[in-house]
Amino acid sequence: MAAAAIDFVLVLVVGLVLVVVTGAFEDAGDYAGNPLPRIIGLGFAAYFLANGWHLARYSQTLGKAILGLVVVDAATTNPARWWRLAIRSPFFLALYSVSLGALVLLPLVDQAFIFRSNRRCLHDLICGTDVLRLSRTRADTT
Amino acid sequence: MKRRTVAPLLLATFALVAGHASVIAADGDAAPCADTDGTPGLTQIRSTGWGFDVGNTRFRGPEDTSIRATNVASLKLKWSYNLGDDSPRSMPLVTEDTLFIGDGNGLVALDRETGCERWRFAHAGQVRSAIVHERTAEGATLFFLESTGGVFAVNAGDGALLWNAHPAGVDEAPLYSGTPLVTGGTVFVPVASQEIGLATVPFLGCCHTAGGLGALDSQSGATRWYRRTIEQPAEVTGRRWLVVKQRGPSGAPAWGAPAFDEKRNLVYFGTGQNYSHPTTETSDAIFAVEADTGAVRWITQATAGDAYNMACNLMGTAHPNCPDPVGPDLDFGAPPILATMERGEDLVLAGQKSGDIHALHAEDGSVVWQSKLGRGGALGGIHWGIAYHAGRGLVLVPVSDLPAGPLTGPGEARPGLHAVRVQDGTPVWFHERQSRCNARTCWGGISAAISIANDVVFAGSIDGFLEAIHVESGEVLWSFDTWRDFDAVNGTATGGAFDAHGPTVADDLVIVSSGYGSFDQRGGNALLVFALEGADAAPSSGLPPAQEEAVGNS
Repeated sequence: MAAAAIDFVLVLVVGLVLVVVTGAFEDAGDYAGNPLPRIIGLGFAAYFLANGWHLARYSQTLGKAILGLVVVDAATTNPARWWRLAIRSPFFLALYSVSLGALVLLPLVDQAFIFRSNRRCLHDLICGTDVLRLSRTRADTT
Repeated sequence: MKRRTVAPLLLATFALVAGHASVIAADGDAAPCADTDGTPGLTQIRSTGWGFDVGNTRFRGPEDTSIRATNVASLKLKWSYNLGDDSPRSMPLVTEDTLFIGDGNGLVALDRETGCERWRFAHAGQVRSAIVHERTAEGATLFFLESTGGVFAVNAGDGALLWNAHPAGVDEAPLYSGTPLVTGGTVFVPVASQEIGLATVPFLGCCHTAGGLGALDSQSGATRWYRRTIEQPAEVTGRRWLVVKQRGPSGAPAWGAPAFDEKRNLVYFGTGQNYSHPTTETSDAIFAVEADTGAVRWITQATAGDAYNMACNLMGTAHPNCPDPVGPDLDFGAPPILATMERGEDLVLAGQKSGDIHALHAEDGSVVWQSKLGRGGALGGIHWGIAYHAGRGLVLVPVSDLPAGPLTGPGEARPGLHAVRVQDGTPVWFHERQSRCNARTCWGGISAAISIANDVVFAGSIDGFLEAIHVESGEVLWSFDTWRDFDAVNGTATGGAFDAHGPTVADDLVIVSSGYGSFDQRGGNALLVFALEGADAAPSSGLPPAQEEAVGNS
């Protein structure tokens, strides 16, 4: 959770810089209608700017790198492949923002899985990933 | 069941139950009318618009209502309705058996005797205007504004949507807060801008949009013309954080119902302040434009150099979007009144948030007289609407004087109802209102528009009292405290502050929304329908049928 909190702050800061530099919300018309797709798009861009290279290279977001965590393939404990990482974080975060039907419950249900004994959240189970400390001991997920 | 699976299941179950409960709670529609086919009677439609007549006098005479000083004490609550909105902004249109009003779920036609539902035009946005009408080729047609959705035309018979449009040429992010005026096949639409609130977002390059007045064909919704209140487009006046543009001029929104002058073929409307610097000569002003073309005949500005937006409420001028210097935010929100004097001279009467009432020559906009009745401020002063009693030669002026922090006007507050002589603005009487307690929510001022029934003024105060006040003396003849719950036709309705469009008077009825939660006032959702009781009650079809033609098409 601490790594997620660090990532949240970093992505937020990068996102705000993006907003200012691109002028994405500079005009009144940018807020008209439903600005959610624009916000999600900026969120993706900020996420990849902040973490893209580090994820691809080390299977770590910056937050996880700071805390010495790595996302691995649960079956092999090797660093997770890029497509697992792509589904695990940005895709799941996008789903979090969908307020449609049962999907509104997704964040609650996903995070509630941390109470299981193996502490793997729903997104880890779906993507076949796990989070380990670099010392190879099991760590807090997310 | 294994322990590790309990927590997710509990959470999911709780969320599902909570979601289901919220659906149940939101279901607040009135019962459908059982004894009719749901079709409203549309023979006698009781007003032309927000101002009851196209001149916005807010006056109902003996041919329109049986309510007067001698019987007003017999007014009793007939039924109530939960509007499903904590700050309702709609005002009803009344026919011989139906009232049409916007609620939290769209536009609804309610039986005026019982409150049962005849039809509903379901819509997600907030109906933010009085319901007005005109007879078009489609039959009786209702018009209203939705805050961001534009103008809607709906068939009064069955609630079917006829058209929905924005005036062509309107700036991006328009905000519709006023009531349209419909006359002669044209819908005149006052337009404000969402930038007033969006300016609170520091990433917004404040500000480049302006208000305006649009003229739409009532049959099709096609735009005939659009008059922007600021002719010159906004320019970049600076940059902050190296990249974010600062822009101006902007603002001068129109959010009060226009008035129509048939003799001169002019439409009058008021504007608010600029949102950013530089300021213009068209803010806090009264416009007179030609009804056919939108060409400006005259503009009279009351307050120059006024720039303000809601970013200033957060951090004052420390907010990057708050103009410096700021204020004093003195809009003309109250719709102008076209008043014909005894000698035949026409005046345009306009109440301003400064607490001033202005009387202008209808011909050229020159000032005839001006009278300051309250200390004024960003929340009025004179806020939502004044009224004119031609027979008595009196202008009735509600004053709020609600404290507005640094944008509170100078001097002593004078909340209450003022009567001034239309010839020269001389004060005649003042009904001072005391607050029911010391909290801001208890403020005794009158922000909402008022209405006149013969010799009685109906005024709702911020602290939730609806009062009937004698036009001659200022004496309170009847009062009703709405700060309570009501056993409504669709559940429980809650009363609160009176604000915005104020009471409607028709036949033996007074209809008003109680509850307006903006500006830290007490929210609520009650539509209250009062009627004369006993021998004072008029038959439900009080108007002679011939009156319909004169009223409905004037």
